[in-house]
Amino acid sequence: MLKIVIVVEKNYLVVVESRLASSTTQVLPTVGGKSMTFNLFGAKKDKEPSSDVDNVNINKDGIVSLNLDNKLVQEQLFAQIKKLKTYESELKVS
Amino acid sequence: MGALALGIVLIVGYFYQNNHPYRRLELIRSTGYHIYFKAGLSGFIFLTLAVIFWILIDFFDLPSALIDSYNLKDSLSYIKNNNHWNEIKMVAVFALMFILSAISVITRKLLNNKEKSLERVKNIAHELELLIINATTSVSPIRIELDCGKVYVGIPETPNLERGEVKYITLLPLLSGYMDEKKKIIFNNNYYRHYEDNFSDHNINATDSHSSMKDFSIVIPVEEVVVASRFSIDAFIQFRKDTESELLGTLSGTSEK
Repeated sequence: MLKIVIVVEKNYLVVVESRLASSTTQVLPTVGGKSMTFNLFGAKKDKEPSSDVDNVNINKDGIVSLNLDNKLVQEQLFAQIKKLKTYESELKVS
Repeated sequence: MGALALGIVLIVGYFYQNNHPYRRLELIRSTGYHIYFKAGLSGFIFLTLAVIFWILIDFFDLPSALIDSYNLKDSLSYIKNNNHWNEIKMVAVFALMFILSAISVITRKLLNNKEKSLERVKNIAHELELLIINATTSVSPIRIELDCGKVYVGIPETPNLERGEVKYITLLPLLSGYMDEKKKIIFNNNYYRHYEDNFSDHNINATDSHSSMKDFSIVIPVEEVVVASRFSIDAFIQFRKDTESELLGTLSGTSEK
């Protein structure tokens, strides 16, 4: 599915969706600067973002393992640790 | 001869199942006679395809035409005996089976990628393995409660399969604790301090005492696991704050989710 987003006005977007023989144009409002998109052809399960796939290694047996060498994984891991650290600091202060 | 044919059917079927990127995922999670039936079914399908191919080849008499075109009939004494043709046909069918299975495997491997593999694994994974896979891909923690009352919260590194089942879970712990007599979770170890002491931000491989953050990994035997679930640190913190409200009272010195 080819999706082209064109900004027409400050608070509105024109979303042109083209799929094979059919195409649809829809004007959608924006919320908080983010566009709201709707699937006009029924619900479709979102694909796993590629960044999530990069978080893991998969061997030929389908064993999924955490890719700790990936910088994004390390950042997400330290973000979890930071939450605990922040919470403990809050507890100490209170 | 029947046993030999059955053996070849099973071998070709197993070759296909074992090397096909998707079929292997299921094979590795199968046990006992399921493996034989998977191999047997695949082998039978390739046998059928190979026989159909050979019937077409035989219908157009391609081997004879090839031999005649190169005038090899006099030099090939083996084919002068009509009984030998049956053996040649059988070997040809078995060779076709192997070639067709190899083509199928190679084609699928060429079309395969990491995303498709992950999607396929999720479709066939057991519930526990699926929980670990989802938590691993999103780098989010899970909670593991053991039979002895010990509780771990951490990022799962990998499920370890053995004979088709998840036997061990490797976890990078963030918190650990235990269940008290009131079945409340008491956390008494916060691993972030260890990580903080030994590893700087975004560098998991450097300190004198630890070569890698993976050194903190713990391996938990699944047979000891009583409860396994996703664990949201945000929800945990929010819940802890809520327990200190007037409505619920204060739970001093305890932590629970």
